[in-house]
Amino acid sequence: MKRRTALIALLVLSLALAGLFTARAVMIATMLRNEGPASTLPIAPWMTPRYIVRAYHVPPSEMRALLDLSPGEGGRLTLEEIAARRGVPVETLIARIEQALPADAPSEGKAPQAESGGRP
Amino acid sequence: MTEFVDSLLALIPEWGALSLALITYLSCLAVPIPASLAMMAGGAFAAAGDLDPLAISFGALGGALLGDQSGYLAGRFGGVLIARRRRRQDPAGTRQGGGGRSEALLVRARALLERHGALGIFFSRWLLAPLGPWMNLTAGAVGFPWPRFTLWAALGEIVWVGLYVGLGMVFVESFPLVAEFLGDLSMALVLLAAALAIAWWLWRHGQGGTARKRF
Repeated sequence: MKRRTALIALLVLSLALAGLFTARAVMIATMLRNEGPASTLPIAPWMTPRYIVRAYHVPPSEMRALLDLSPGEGGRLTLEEIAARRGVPVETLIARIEQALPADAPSEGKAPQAESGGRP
Repeated sequence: MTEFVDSLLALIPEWGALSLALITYLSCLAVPIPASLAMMAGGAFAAAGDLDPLAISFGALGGALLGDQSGYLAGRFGGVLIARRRRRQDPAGTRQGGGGRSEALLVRARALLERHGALGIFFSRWLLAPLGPWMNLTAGAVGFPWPRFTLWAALGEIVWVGLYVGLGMVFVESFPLVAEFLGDLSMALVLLAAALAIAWWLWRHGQGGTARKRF
């Protein structure tokens, strides 16, 4: 009987948690829908110049100018690495890029922050 | 995003397929590392032209397959050790109680896996991914046939890797949110599956109890 009660409690808990996760998923889906195809991420140190060009629709020539990159330089380097090579804080580069972004793109503090759990 | 996730994402353009192989390998061993997010990031960097989509897919797949085999082997090894210890403590197999009960549980788990294991292994690679590492250990511990395990695990991992790298290539701008959405959905499904299993057990044992009382 004790085991039965414990299992019923576990059943209710599983269902409640499943409900919570579903609600969170619906919230994120709504957020994604409302944001549309525009970026939902602020510029971050892990991004590469090519990623920013693709995701934020910045012309490649403008990107190269913003980061003082010569043609062919900076291929798979992240903003953090580029900043370290230039000897400037990464925040300086991020601020420079954010100023050049189209008006509808998110900037630091404005965009929703995504967290991440385990697998998947 | 947390600093850990930021540093993880920064590794991907630099180390490419190798970083994804390591990440998927660790995730198959139940290390709490956001492997699906990492694969989506790989897909997004590939769409941007930083990485080769085929190379990262093979990297991620290789890591996942190796991880599954490691988990299976660990389970196998653990299962053999437990059985050996039990035999040493009770060579004739006559002792009742705790040992007998865990033995019965193992036998039932093996029967259940033999009946539905292939599907369980397949779906726990991608749809019910949080269960994957535990499924590997259990399959090894109960002696689920290795060729069948390998086949279904590989098919599931191909779906997992293809799905998430592909999603990363499509949702270049918003992949962290999409990863979070799918992670939540996967957890909800796992919890629902657990609730169903408990409800089924309660229903079956409720019926058995009534039947015993009646006769």
